[in-house]
This record gives sequence, C-alpha cells and structure tokens, in this order.
Amino acid sequence: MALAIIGVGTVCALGCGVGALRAGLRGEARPEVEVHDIATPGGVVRLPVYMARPDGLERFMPKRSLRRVDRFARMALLASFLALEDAGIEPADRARVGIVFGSGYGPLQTTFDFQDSMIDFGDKCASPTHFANSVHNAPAAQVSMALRIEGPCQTVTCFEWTTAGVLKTAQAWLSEGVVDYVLAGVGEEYCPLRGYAAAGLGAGGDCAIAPFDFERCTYAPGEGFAAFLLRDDAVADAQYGRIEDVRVSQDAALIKERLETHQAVFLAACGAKQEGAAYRKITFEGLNYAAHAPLYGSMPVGLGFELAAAALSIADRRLYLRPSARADAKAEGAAPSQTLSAGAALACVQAVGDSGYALISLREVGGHADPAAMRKMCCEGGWMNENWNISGLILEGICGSGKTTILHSLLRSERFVLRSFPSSIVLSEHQTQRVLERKERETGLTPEDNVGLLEQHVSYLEAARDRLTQMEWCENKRTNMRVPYLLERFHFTHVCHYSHVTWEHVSPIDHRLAKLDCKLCLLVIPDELLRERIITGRDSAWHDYLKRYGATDEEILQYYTTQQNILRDLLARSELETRIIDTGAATIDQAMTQVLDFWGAV
Amino acid sequence: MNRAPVVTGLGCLCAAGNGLPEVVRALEAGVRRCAPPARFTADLERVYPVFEITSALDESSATGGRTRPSRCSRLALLATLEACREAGLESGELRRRRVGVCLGTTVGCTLNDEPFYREFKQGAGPKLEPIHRYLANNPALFLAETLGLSGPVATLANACSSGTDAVGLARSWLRGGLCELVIAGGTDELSRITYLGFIHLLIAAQEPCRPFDAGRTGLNLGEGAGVLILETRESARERGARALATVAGYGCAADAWHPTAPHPEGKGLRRAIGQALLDAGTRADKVDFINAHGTSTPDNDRIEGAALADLFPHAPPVVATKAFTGHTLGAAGGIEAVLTVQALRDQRLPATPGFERPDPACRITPTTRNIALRAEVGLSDSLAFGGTNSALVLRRED
Amino acid sequence: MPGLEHELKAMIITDLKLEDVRPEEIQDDDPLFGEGLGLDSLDAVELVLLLQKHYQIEIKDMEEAKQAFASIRALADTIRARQLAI
Repeated sequence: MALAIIGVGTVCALGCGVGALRAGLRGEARPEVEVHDIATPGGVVRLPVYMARPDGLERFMPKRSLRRVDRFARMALLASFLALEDAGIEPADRARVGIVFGSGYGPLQTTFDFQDSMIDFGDKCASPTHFANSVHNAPAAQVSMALRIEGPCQTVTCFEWTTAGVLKTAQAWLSEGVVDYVLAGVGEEYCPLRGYAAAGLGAGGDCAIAPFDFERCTYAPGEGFAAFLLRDDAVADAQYGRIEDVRVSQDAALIKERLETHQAVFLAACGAKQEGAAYRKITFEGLNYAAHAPLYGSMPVGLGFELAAAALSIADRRLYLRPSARADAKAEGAAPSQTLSAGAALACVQAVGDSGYALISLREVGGHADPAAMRKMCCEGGWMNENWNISGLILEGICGSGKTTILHSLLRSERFVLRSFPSSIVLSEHQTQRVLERKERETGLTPEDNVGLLEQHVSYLEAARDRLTQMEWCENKRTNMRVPYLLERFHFTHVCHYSHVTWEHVSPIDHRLAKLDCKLCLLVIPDELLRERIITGRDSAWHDYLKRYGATDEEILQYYTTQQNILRDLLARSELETRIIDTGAATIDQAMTQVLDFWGAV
Repeated sequence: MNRAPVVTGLGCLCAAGNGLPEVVRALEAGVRRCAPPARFTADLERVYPVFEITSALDESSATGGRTRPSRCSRLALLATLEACREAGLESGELRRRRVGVCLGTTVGCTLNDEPFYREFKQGAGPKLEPIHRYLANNPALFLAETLGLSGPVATLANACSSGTDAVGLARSWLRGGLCELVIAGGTDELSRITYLGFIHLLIAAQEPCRPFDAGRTGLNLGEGAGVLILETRESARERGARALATVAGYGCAADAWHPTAPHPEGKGLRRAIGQALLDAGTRADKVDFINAHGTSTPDNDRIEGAALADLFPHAPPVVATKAFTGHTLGAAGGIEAVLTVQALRDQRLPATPGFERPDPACRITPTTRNIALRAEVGLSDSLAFGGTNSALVLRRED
Repeated sequence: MPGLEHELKAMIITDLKLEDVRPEEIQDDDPLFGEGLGLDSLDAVELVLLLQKHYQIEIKDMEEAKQAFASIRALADTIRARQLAI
C-alpha cells in the first residue's frame, strides 16, 4: 500500500530541519565537514567527517529531561520533533502512532562510553546508564517517552538494507490498521573507532565525496538522523508525495526497467569503490540521476537521506540534481535544478554489495504545502511536551526604564498576537504595587501581605498549567496549546520597593516561577539618562509623587539609582534565566525585539 | 478463509539442550544448567551465574564464506537447519522459493569486540578483522547469504522482545504477500560486556533465577537461538508440509515510560496482549496457557503477574521457561514461541523450577509440577528494555 | 557544612548531570528519589556505581540501595560506617 509522507525532519552536517537540507540541495549552504587525523598502523590518515550538530532540542524539551540523553538519541529526538512540527499534525490517539527506527551501527558513542567505563575504572565501575543507552532500541524508546507515543515501537538493524526494512514495517502496520501514523526514521552516529575502521578500509585523503568516481574510495563517514511522519495515503494530503513502492531485489535488469518510469533517480552512492559495478548496471544514457552524499556524508542509511532529498523535490516541485550527477565534483555549479512535473515519480536507490538493490518510488500527488506561518503557530513545542505548555516573561525595571512603552509595543506586535491567540495571561504592575498601596495606607503591610499577593498569581498560573496538561490531543491543525504569560514587575519589585520584604521571603515564589518556565528581563537606564527619564518632562502630579523619595532632585535620583542597583543584584540570586536590556542604547523597536528574542516563546 | 500463517518447523538451541528434543527432555526432567560463566571472567566481588551453552556447536554446517561466523550466527544457523529439516525444506528449495528471514538479536548487532577496542584505545593500531567480522555477521543477513534466500530480510533490535517481534513481523510479511515462507525467531550469545551491563543495573541474580517467587532477586542471562518456519497455509499444503500451529495473533505497544523500568501498571503489556487477542479473534477466556516473560526481577514479575491476573481471571497455567534457558535477550521471544508451539503439540507444560513461595504482589503462581494440557490456544508475551511489550497468540493444529 | 555531605552533593550534581541545581539547594535530609531531587531507578543504580568508583563502597542490591540513598545524610552515614569498618 502507498504511504503518504506528511512531515520530514532531518539532522545532519547541513544543519537541522528541512530548511537546512533545502539550502544544501539548492547550493545555498555547505555541510560542516571536519577533517580528523586518524592514527593508523600505516601512518596518519586525514579523514573528512560529516558531523551533525543536534542543536535546538531545548525548544522542544526541558533541559532537565535531556540530562541522560546521549548524542545519538538527541539526533533522533530532534529529527522526530522537527518532522512532527513540519507536519503540523496532532494525532488524536497516541496509542495509534507507531515508531520504527533503523540504524546500522546504533548508538556508537555510548556503546564505547560503556566500554570505557569498564576498561578505565575496572569491571566494578561499568556505568549502567551508558549501558542502558547503548542498546540499539534506546533512541526509539527515548522518542516514545518524549512524545508519549504508545503504539508499537521497534528498531531495525540491517546495514544497507535498514531503510527499506524500516519503511516496509511502517507499511505493514498501516495496512493492517494497527496505527494511524508512523514516525519512521534512520540514522547513524560517528565515533573515533568508526573513523579508524573507515581509514583502514581505504577512506581518507583531502577530497570531497565523488559518488560516481568508482575508481577511487572517497568515502567520508557521516552522521545524522532523517525522520518521516507517514500516513495511509488514502486519507492524507501528501505534500512530500506518496511512497508507492519499497522493494529489494538482486535483479539489476528489473531495477533498471523500473527506473525508466521515473523522472529522476537519487542514488545513495557514497564514495565506496565496490558500489561501482552495481550502480553501473542500473544507470543508462538519458537517465536523470544524482547522488547527494556530498551533502550529508557516507553511511549505511544513506537511502533515508536520499528519500528526504526526494521528498523536498516533490514538495518544491523542483528536481534537486545538485551536487552534479557527473563524476567531476568540481563542476558543482553547473547542474541546474529542473521543474518536477505534476504526477511525476522519483526513485531512490541504494546498491548493496555486488548485486543487491533497495528501491523506493515516490510520486508527486498534488498535496499542498502548509503555509509556514500556520505551522509555526501550531507546533512550536507546545503540544508535544506537556510540561512545556506555559511560558512566561517578567518585565522589571525602575520607573522610566521603558517597561510600559515596551509592554504596549510587545502586546501589539505581530509575533505576540499570532502566538498568544487564543489564550494568554497579562498582568500589569497595577496588580502588584497599586493594590498594596492602599493597604499600606490603612493598616500597614507585613511581608505576608506581599507574599500573599504574589502567591495568588503564581497559584493561578500553576492551575492554568495543570489544566493544560490534562487537555487531550485533538485532530485540529490550528490548536495552540501554549499559553504565554506576561507580568509587568513582580517579586523583584516587592523586594526592592518594600524594605520589610527580603529575598528570603520571595525565593520560594522565584522557585515556583522557574518551574513555570519563566524568564525575567530587567530594563535599565544608563546613569546619564536617569534625570531625563525620571524627572524632566513629566507632569506635576508625577513630581508630587516623587517627593516621597527625596526633597531634592539629587535625592530622588539617588533613590532610583539605588533601586536599580538592588534590582541588578537580585539577578544573581534568582533561579530564572535573566537578561539585562539597556533601554538607553536601543530604540523601542530594537528593545522590544531583544525582549522577544530572549523570551523565545513567541 | 483462514489467512493466519502456519508454523511448519521448529529449531532450538540453549543451555537446556542442543536441539529441541533435548530441550524438551530437560524441561520434562526439571534439569537446569546454570553456572558461573565459563567462557569469560569478570573482576567482581560476587558471582552471577548464567545459562551458557557448554556443549560444542556442530561446526560442520555451512559457513558464511568470507569471514568466520560469530557465535550468534552459528546458533541461528543451527536452529534454522533443525527447523528446516522438520519442515522438509532442503537447501535447493530454500533457494528456489521466495523465503524471507526475520531475526531478533541484541548482542548480534553490536560492535562488542572488547580485545579489539582495548587495543584501539591504547593506540596499538589493531587489525580490522573484528570489523570485517561484525559487518559480515548481521544475523538475518548472514542467514540470507548462507542459505541463498531471496525474500525480505530484517534483523530486529528491540532488546528483550526482539524474537517475539520478529515472529510478528514475519507474520505481516506473509499476510502482505511479500513472500511465501519466513525463517523467524531470535539469536543471542553471552557477552562479557552485556553481562557487566545487566549486573550493574542491579537486576542480575547471584543464584539460579526464581520466577514469581516471593524471594526472587533477579535474572540470569542466557544464550541460544529459537527459530520457527512460518509459511502461508497454501504454501504448506502445496509442499505437503504439516502445520504444527497457527500464528493467530500478534500485538505490540510501548509503555512510553522509562529507559529500563517497565510501566508500573503494565500499561503497554496490557494493550499488547489485548491487541494480540483481537488480532487472533480470540477471547481472553479461551487462552489455555501462557508462556510468561518471567525474568525473575522484582519489578517484571510483579507487573507482568498483575497484568496476567487481571486479563485472564480464569487463571490458565503459566510457565516461565527462562528458568530453564535464562534470559536470552534477543533470542528469548523466538525460543519461547518455539516452546509454546511445542507445548501445544505435546499438550504438556513443565513445572517452573526455582519457584517455591507465591508472592501475593505477583498475584499469579507458575506451574509447580509437570502437567497435561487440553490446550487449543497458547499465549507468549515479552517485555523489553525501553518499554516495548509484545504478545503472540498461537493456536494448535490437529 | 560537613565535608562529606557537600562532596556528595557536588558529585551527584556533576555525575548525574543535574546542571540547574546548586549544592546549597539540596538539604541533607531531603529525599533524593521521587520528590525532592526527583531521581529515579536508573539514577539509583548509577549512584551505586559512583559509590564504588569514588569511595570503594559496595552496595549489593536494591534493598541496600533504598536504605543508603534515602537522603544525603543517609548516604554520608553509610560511607562513614563502611569506612570505619575497614
């Protein structure tokens, strides 16, 4: 049965996400290739290695839950989150989502970390955590835990046959109706021993991967993870096309015949000499073919990355034939990308050994690409991890520091408006300071009054978070389950403004805010602008108000300087992530952008 | 029309015996071969016994060709040849027909050559023979190449449920028409590295394991291979092969809970068993006996026992054959599927050695003596590291 | 603060990778597992290994681990008792 590809997420030497892959395919970006010096019995070999950088996982998962997660699992997690975000889908029933991953070598780094612990410190000191992470199925398990996916969860490991095996398993589950979606993925990890083995098998030297130069070995180990969200094609839009066939065969003639019906073929040729004979048997004059290993590196699961490239070709209706299909790697700029015809099919093929082939056939079926804005609005982390569905920002600063102005600007900004719909919580300082002023006049204030008011708000936020946690997933592409909250002045103000309130009184509040994913921005006024901001140009009612802080302008300025310094000092004591923004040095728009970028939730 | 695939051959090697008849005799006699490992040592204060295959393996069988086969590969091959003999499949037929192979393993897919790695670490520049060996010994690929198979090939690495999942995937291949026959099961060998891993997780016992016993302290590792020949009913009929059982149903579900601990309420296991029963079109009260995962760890037996007690209130007999085989990891599901089919054929279940005192928290009691069965349907379940749970429903053929 | 308790807190933070926790935040009598620091069963077995590695103390099973790991104070007391016994 046919499989619709509805989301793609990739992590590799080009970077993370389909955007990075697309940039590489278009020739707009180059992969990160490190050159490692490998000591071998025959001397030092300089080996190019395509290292991936799995950055950005904190966007989807709290840092604390990543503490034990090893690098391979991070790549798998990130690719999986990116694939789901890309699809913009929220499955109604997590028990009807399956995970099938594949890897030839598995989590290599942690496999050897475990052996290191035994060898370096003795058998009695072997690390159970490293062992638990080193089993081949650990990455799939980590993803099922992070995404709370409760359908079948399996791992295939079959070297170059792995990608086909993964897709066939997905086909089986979907056709039998065991699940509604399958998150399918393949990946590999680099480690020094892999480099040593590659060098020993003929890799190395300062050259790029030349996939069609079969006279020499230009193999360069790569690592990464490619994840696909798949659905039964009868019920889904398929912006990335429909996988119509996954086959393995020893019959070159049959494969060649199949290729004739495809507009282009992406080969997982990766610079290994021995592939030459097999690939030569299936290519022919007039065939449009390309190999993209120079973008992501050489690995047993290369077919998965060719599939990702093919999926992007389909989505963009452009044949990505870069790097050049011709053997001359230097002529990279020459191959233009052509238009992909409507309804056309692309083939992805990997030759295995002398005579084996794995083939995937992907057809364009007219699915539309979701507008980028809607997808971003829907999925940026919120629904995928239920601990991460509320996120806040406190704006602190003395009067005149620009809080109100920036707050107004922020609330009207497109970023905030898009991301805060339909729910957000915004409280101005009237909710803190003004309420207390009256009580102070009437009966005097105790620290309990201050803390009590703060607590009311924090309790409300905690209740809101708990309610969100209990919400079920729903089949609605536009649901935004992430509730941002904005507080203008909060516990810092209480410590700085009320002499009877100390940090010890409010540090439990600070701790609770930390668990509500709260950040804090302190807006400061440079000394030379203090007078202008606080005193000059304000009305007489304000001047009357200021009199309580000093008889002269100097005394007033001294008071506010001290206040600002107290606020600065509190930054070091807080558990929250904090940032100082100098509003003297920036325009309102610039300051507002800095605030939003720092917050990161919108 | 009954589309469920049938089992036409069984093969099994483990500490209990070199070949299924010997294994069955050991189960009937209550013989356990559990001892400190002979092939490797560990520098530890305490000794953790294992179920090791100590008899010599038959080396006369076909080898892989280019490099020396690993122990995993040899065990898989021997079990496969035994199963093929029973199914009446000789080598020519294996090449002629479209035969797939689906095997589970844990050690068999890991780069676990300790001497090689030690040398590499020291900068001694070791020769690459262990790498060649690793690349040539993926269990399913090894079998496909050795036997000249042309059907689909997959090795599953799902930790302790790999073997069960391999049978389940093989079943899907047959139902989907990808091939007519599949060699399915699992294989694993004892490894010093894996041994140390389990010991440091504090789930290995210092004595022979005691499934579901109130005083149980943990598992013993084991090694072996369990292989079934699965084929479509049409293929069996056409070949004149006798169907021993039907693979009636399969289910698989994840706990999504923890990297090593099972879900405290056995959430995934309950769902997997439910799915397998649904797939088989069988009600829970029709299950006549259960081959439990029964590793003897405090957590597993308590959680699995409670799930089985809830799902099967009619209390069918439960056997924990890991008491005879040890925990053979990737092979376990294959060996246990073989033993479940064998129990359906013989209409007998052995006592579960190592069990003496019931644990109220486990809520079930395994077999305490050899019993005769009147069984149509058997269930085999597996709970894996990382939270995958799988179950097979097997039905007797007359 | 007694040296061993502080040392243990620092070790747990570093070796179990609790990046966002400071030693001063762990009270000697706080539970280490479940509530409090929120460590789990995998951390517990890793802690067994860390005791072997840093203090040459052996914990032989989960029962013993539960006693010794109830809190920092319990852990420190266990180490001190074993070291005296040598």
